[in-house]
Amino acid sequence: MIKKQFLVLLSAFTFILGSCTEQNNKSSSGFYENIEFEMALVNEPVIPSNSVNITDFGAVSGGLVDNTKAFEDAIAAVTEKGGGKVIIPAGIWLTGPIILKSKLELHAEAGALIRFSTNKDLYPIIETSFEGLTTWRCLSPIYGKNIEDVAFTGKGVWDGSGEAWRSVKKGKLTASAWKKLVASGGVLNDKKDLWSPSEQFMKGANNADQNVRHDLHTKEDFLAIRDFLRPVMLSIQNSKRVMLDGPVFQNSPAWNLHPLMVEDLIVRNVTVRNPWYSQNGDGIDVESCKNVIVENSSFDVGDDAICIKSGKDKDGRDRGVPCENLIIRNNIVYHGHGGVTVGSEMSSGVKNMHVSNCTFMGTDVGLRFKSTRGRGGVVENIFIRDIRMTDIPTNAISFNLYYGGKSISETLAEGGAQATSESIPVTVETPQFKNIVIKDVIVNGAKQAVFLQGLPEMNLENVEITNLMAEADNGFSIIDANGV
Amino acid sequence: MNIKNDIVFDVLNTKDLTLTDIDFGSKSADAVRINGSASEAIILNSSATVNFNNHTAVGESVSKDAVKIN
Repeated sequence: MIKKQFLVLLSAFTFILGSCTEQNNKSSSGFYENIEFEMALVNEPVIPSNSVNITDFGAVSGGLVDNTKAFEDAIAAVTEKGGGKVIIPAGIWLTGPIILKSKLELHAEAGALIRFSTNKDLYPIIETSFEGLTTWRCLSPIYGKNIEDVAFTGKGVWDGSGEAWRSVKKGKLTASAWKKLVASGGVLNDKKDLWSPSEQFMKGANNADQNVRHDLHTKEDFLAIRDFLRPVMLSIQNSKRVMLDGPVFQNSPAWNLHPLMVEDLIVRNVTVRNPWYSQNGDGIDVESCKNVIVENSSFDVGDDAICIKSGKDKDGRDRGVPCENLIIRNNIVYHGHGGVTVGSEMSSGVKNMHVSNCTFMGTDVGLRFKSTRGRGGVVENIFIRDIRMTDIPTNAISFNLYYGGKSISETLAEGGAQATSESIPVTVETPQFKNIVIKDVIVNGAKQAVFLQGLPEMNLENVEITNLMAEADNGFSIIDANGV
Repeated sequence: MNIKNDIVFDVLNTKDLTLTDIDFGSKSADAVRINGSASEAIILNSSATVNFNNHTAVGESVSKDAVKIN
């Protein structure tokens, strides 16, 4: 049985005119020391000591036999006992999607590689959420909804076979790799610079708002473009006490890990990998979750690495579930668009986030805050310290309220975000970022140290940056801010 | 800080900007450039190897009184 509780830290913060100031932690507890806000215990899952092995249910190693039913039967067996551990021993285990149940621990032992099938018929489309919007997507390889007490443990590898799902831009591959990809099948766009797995995928991408089609409404509409509806690899929604401790998660079709509306989420000691060129290959997207720890993990991915979100535009505001009480520390990010990112989907708000002792090596941006008009939502009470960054090709610290759905490198290549000095009326669609404390940061190489840009009608408010040691081509740009 | 560009702070339409204890390094031109009707700034205890007072430009719409340099 795995259960552990940590003492709560009690702390308070006050903001004085023009700046925000931390107060000392009142707790003597080790785990929550130096957390700047009050938050509840983060509880680990409680799982009975029953256990089964997938080989007892006919699973065959080797990567050739579909073990979907063996996984399903093993999970059903421990569930009938009231819950427990499903052991996945060393081997290569091919499977279709795995549906999670409550009180379940999936323990992939060292040497275990779980590869998800590239047969898309195994992934029916379901109504779900992606990029902060309610829509239809293919069922995720790992899927759970309305469950409690779930853990992924062990040192095994979970592989989403993302290469079968995603498109690839020519400019992101070497000439020989591009030639090999094109020869493997799939289709090219008219410009011959974008490869897609199928005609259906390319058709689906037309008229998409990033990856969501607003013009389609029925299940039948979405079925016609199923290939385009690539899922996140791990989707756990509306659940409690979820823990990922130990495994490698790699090669996801879209985002890698997507906990959505999870209360008590612990992610520790995991390795999250995606090809650097993977479109929307985020590491983890913590969306509308409460009481969260992400620690001692590494990320090497194709898009943003550690992302904090809370829904997009009206869908997000209607959900009304902020992402709150987050501890993110002791993590390393290698490749990624942003090391730690908030937004751009933050329409339900983000509050009370502690980030410390993280290293970003060559991420496009280090600390990335992004949104745009139309989102609404408030991001507040963000405390970041002890951050190291090296070789950041754009901005080490970036607040961009004109996010247009592209990476910052792509945006800069196109001449920068389309900012405006024109103020428009403040409404529920106006995003707001305030009360941000960033201290003890070393930037060893960046195009620009700090870029702070709010909106004319809603300035960035109360941003305090102290003890920043920066080596960069450019220093600070500060636009439409109040209290810096 | 080691910023290659001479302009270390490029500020537009910002209120209540406080810069304290900043080593701007060796600069041959403006270390701080402030523009915009809303700009108000205080610069304290900072240094540059050039004559700092003469190398702090203030945007046309901001009076020099809005920027105080110690």
